[in-house]
Parts: sequence; structure tokens; C-alpha cells
Amino acid sequence: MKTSKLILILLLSWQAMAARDFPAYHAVISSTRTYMDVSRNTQSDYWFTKDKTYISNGRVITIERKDLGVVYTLIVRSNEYYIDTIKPEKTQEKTTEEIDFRYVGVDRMVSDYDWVVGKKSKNDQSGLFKADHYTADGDADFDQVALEFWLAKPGNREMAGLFNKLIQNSMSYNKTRKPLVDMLKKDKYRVPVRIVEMLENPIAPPAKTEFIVEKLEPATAPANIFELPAGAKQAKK
Amino acid sequence: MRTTIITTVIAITLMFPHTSGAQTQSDYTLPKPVMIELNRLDEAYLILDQFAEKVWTGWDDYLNFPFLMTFQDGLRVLVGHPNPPEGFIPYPQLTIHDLSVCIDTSKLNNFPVHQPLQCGGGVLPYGTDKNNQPVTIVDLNLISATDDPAGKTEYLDAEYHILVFIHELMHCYQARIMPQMFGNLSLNPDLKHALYSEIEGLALQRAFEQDSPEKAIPFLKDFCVARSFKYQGMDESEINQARCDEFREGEAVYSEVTILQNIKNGFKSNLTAEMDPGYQRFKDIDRYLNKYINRLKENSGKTLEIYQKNYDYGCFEALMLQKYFPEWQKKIEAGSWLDPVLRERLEISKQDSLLSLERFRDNYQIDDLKNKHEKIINGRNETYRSFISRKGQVYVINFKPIKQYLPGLADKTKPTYKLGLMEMFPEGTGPVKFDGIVLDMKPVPTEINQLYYFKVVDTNPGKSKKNYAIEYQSQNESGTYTNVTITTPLFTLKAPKVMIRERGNRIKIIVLSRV
Repeated sequence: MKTSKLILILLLSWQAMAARDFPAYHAVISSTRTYMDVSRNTQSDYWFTKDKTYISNGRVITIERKDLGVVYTLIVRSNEYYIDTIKPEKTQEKTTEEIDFRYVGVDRMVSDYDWVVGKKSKNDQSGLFKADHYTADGDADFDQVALEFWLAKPGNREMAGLFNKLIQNSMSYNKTRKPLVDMLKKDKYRVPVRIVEMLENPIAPPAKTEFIVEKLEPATAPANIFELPAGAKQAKK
Repeated sequence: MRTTIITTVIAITLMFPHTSGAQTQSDYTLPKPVMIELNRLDEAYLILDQFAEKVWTGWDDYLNFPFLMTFQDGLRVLVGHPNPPEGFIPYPQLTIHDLSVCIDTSKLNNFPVHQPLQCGGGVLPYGTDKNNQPVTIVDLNLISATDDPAGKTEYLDAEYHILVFIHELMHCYQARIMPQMFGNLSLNPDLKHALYSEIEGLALQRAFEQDSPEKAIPFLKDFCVARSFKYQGMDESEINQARCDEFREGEAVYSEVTILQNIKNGFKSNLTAEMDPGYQRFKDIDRYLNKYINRLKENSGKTLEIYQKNYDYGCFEALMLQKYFPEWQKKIEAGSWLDPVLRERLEISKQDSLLSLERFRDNYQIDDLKNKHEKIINGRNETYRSFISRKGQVYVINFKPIKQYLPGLADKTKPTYKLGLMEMFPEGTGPVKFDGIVLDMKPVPTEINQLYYFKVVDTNPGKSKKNYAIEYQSQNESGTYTNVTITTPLFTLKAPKVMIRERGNRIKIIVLSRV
């Protein structure tokens, strides 16, 4: 075969592979929230690479494109989307801020918990990967939380690192998950395979939330998974 | 021998009182205080059969939303649930307006339930129907009337309970009225908000008191102009939340007023004096109707209040719209809110706005109002700063397990500032006593937070390891103390049953029983 033809074939194959965003990783997380005697189950689908992420829970799809600096949030039912720019990560700086009295005391969920964290067992085999089982008991003035999480170290470091970051990003705003997020920050190649949270709310009845990672593996991403679907319209804000 | 056996059996039976332990449906009879509330619910349904359409065209779904009533003796009664959750057993000997009744007696205690009761609650999802879809219910707690220094005994009236049931059922119907809903506004008032909010309230009062549109409309324009100033500094989502809150609560109150106005012309009742000795069949109906304008007058000037005003302002906006612009409900169903509909119908010109500004100065004394509100806002902010600067041993007393709202129990002569879900009492709350609970608080800065919690900070804790002393009758394996007296440097608490949780510099006392 002529060299030029071979180069062309290789280039086309490379382009085809790039278009499929390989290597990509696939995770499926099922979650159950039980509140007031009703359990709601959701299954979320994650596809991710180094600079692209797709997350869908069936109702909302979030596509993050670090290469373009944007995040799309698509409402499945209406096929309308919102677009936001990716904000740079804030560095943790302590600043003295003027109090904005308009917002003091209105947020029910800003408790800073005092935590007691312990390791319950090592090498628990009950989940997707062999994992260490931790418990964390959080106490605040008006509420308390009992958290359990299982952390594993899958062999694929790139996959583990990317998934670790995804979970950190999705949970770092939530103070009830702080011990988990802290451990993920400390070891960037550990991933949660199961999380159980029992929250005793200040006013509302208790709520239990459970996440199970059903799947986490390298996979070939479906074509155009990181693009907006055909016909999607930008929504007015 | 036979006599001995019979005597022994009788003695054993008498040892176990009727009210404790699990009951089968054939063993338990709903007591009279509970039947009174259920009959009031039946009366509410009957009133809605007659007048629901007068409130809102098409309001016909009020029998689709179950009621859950919880009493202090642990009894729970569920009316009209299509698929009662676990723990409820049928009570086939009773229906309420043809709706089935179920009861849960698994947590009965010895608390003596008797009328009059206070009634409050809200709309929540509870359980699922047979298609596994969540069921929206009206969840009510009925608790004994405590001594009310403010003398607001009207909340104990049978008529008031019937209006509460109607109010909550209107909340259930609102999901069909409103094309979109927004979450509750989470905002504390600043000076501008408090000032223009009072002008809004004054304008609504004056509009309501006029007997012609020519006299009322200038005040309604004042209301709209004040509203536009109040909304400055709020973003679009906050304005949507504010309007949604105002419609949600205000229109539910409007439903009460409209029902009362129709009852005044005569209505059919099934509730006899024998069934409910406290029920007067809305005999003194003007007393109930006057309550609404009196509350508007009282609340308009409250600097630190936002949410409570939704009930009054929303109601009176709806009443004014119904009186002068009766097609307003269609606009709401199309996605608008009360004040935009009013503004649109009033066609406010620039000249109108300028005239309103002059009236704010001349007729509403805006400068005096500004001074008043500024003093209170500054007081609130300074009090908060002093509270957060208090460091030391933290004590939290948690009344959530017994669902006791605390704000109403504080001494109303004590200065207080509200900020979000906090009520700050810089000079303490005074003593608190109800049922089997006695809380003797020293006059130290005290916080009531999230409805159910007292919090105090001892800024000068002693050097000993234990910062409280405890006397109790017994303690079980789970750490629950019974008949307990807890003494700290800042308060003494007597309670029938508590748990104590200690973490760092925080001691939490969780009150588990009223009796």
C-alpha cells in the first residue's frame, strides 16, 4: 500500500476515534431518597473524559465542555437548554465579609457539623469494587446527620481520578457530605461505591438518601453524547 | 380455686390500661375530643359543597386530599387516603363526608387529650396511591391550648378550625390554578423593604375602607408604586418567589373571607351543639370578618416581618381585584400574579407615580415611618452581631420530637428581633411552662431557632468537665432519662423524658415527651 494512502487511513481512523471521544468512561449511579414514607428512585447516567462530561437523570441533562468553557443544562421534556460559562475554581481564602442581613438565618441547610469519623471495615466486598467502609456522625446545633460511605481504589487511575473529581464537584456544596469530600480530596484516586445518608432535619421529618454506583468502567461513548441533541432550543432565562 | 382464677384474670386485665399498647379496630373507640375535630372537618366539606365555586370557578377537588390529624396522646387519624401507609388500620364504623377513616394507635400514651385544641399544619406528600404516585395530604397537629398571654383565644374556636381546613384545602387546589410555582422567598427586610411594605399595607387598608372605585383607586395606585420601590434591589427570582408566596397564602385567606361573606347570607350545617358544644355556627360572623382587616392593620407596621404579611396583603389585593376587576382569576390562571394584574388594570401613568410620591410624604408621613423602621433594623443587626460574638459552652434544647412550636411561648413583653428562622431575645425569653415541662431561663441572650429549639451560650463556663447537673428517676440502655431535672448556669429544665447529646462545646437536650 502506498505510504500516502496508509497515512490517510491512519488519519481518518484517528479522527473517527477522536470523534468517539475515546478513552471515555461510563458510570451509572442509582439513588433512592426516602422522605415521609415515600421512596423515589433515580438512575443517573455519566459519561466522562478528561475535558467533557455528560450527566443525565432522565429529566435534566448536564453537558460540561471544558474545551469550550461552557456548561449546557438541558430540560429533557421541553428540549430547551441553558448555557453557562465554566467558572474558575475558587481558592479557599478566608476573607472578612460584611454581613448581608438580607440573607442571615434564612437558609435551613448551612449547618457546620462537628464530625466523628471512623473506619468500620476494610475490603468490604458488597459493592462494585472492594472498598473500605466508613461511618461519620455529624452534629450541628439544630440538626444531625449519620453518613456511611464505601471508598474503593479501582485499578484504572485515570478513570478513578476523573470520577473522584466529578463526585467532589457534585457534593462539595453539601455540608452533610463533608467527611466524604475531604477523603476524596486527600486521595484523588479513591471513589465512592456506595453512600448512605440519614439526615435529621431541623424542622422537616428525617430523610434518607442512598447512592449506589452500579457501573464504573471504560467504554466507548455513544456518538455525539457530548453535544446538544438535535432540535434543542436555548431557553430564555 | 375458680374464684381465685377469675379474680386473677380480672386483676391482670385491670393492670393494663385501655390506652396503652397496640389496639385492634374493634378495641379502640375514637374519643369525643377527636370526634369533634373530625365532625368539624365534615362541616368544612359541607360548607365547600355550598360555596367553593364562589371562591374560585372550578374548585371541586377538595375531597381528593386526605387529612392526617395527630394528637398529643400519639393517636393519628387519616381521612380519605386511597392507600393508607403501614401502621394505619381501618376504622369502618365512621366515614367523614363519605371518606374512609383509618387510625394508628401504635404509639398511644397517657396524655389526656381534651378540647379546646389548637390546630396547625400544612400540605405535604404522604404515602402513595395504588399507582405508586405520591399523595398530597393536609397534615395537622392538634395540641392543647396553653395559656395565651396575648388572649388570642379565637384560634381555639370551632369556626377557626373549619376555616383552617378550608385554607389548607385551597392550598391543595392552587397546584391546579398556578401554571408555575416558585419556592419560598428567603429574605430578611432591609430599611427600604420595611418602609415601602408599611406604605403598601396602609394603602390597602385605605382602599378597602372606601365605598367607591373613584375613592379606592388612588390608594391602589399608591400600593403599586410602593410595591415597585420595595422590589428594587430584589432580583427576578426573588420577585417571583415573593409574588408566588403572596398569592399562595393571600388567596387561601381570601378563600376564608369569601366563604364567610357567603355564610353571612345563610348556609346549611350538619354540626349540632350536641356533637360540638363549642360550635356557634358562625353566629357572630362579623367578629370573624373584622379579624382580617384588624390583622392587616396590625401587621402592616411590623418592620421585621415579611412572610406573615403575605396572608394579609395577598388577601386584600384579591378582595380589591374581585370588587373592581372581577376577571382577575383568569389572569392568574394564565400565569400572572396579584400585583401585576392590579397594576395592569390600574394603568398607572408617570403622573400617577409622581402623585403617589407626594402622597407618601403628605398622607403617609414617610419620613416618620423611615425613622421608625431604621431604629428597629439597626437594633436587629446590632443584636445579631452581639449574639454571634458570644463564645463558650453552647446549650440547645430541642422540642422537635414533641412538635412544640416555641415562639409563642416566650414572654411577649421581652424585646425580640427576628432574623430568618431566628428569634433573638437579648434579655431572655422568660420562664416557659407547658404540660409536664418547666423551663426556668435566666435573663440571658436567648435564641429560638428553627421553630423548635432554644439556644443559649454560657460565655463564662466553669472549669469542671460537666457543665450541667442532672437528677432523674431512671435511665434506660439507650440513654433516655425520665422525670429529669437538669441544672445549668443559665437555666433549669424539668421534663418527663429527655436524651442528652454532647459534642465538643455543645450540649443538646432532646425533649422526648410532654407528660
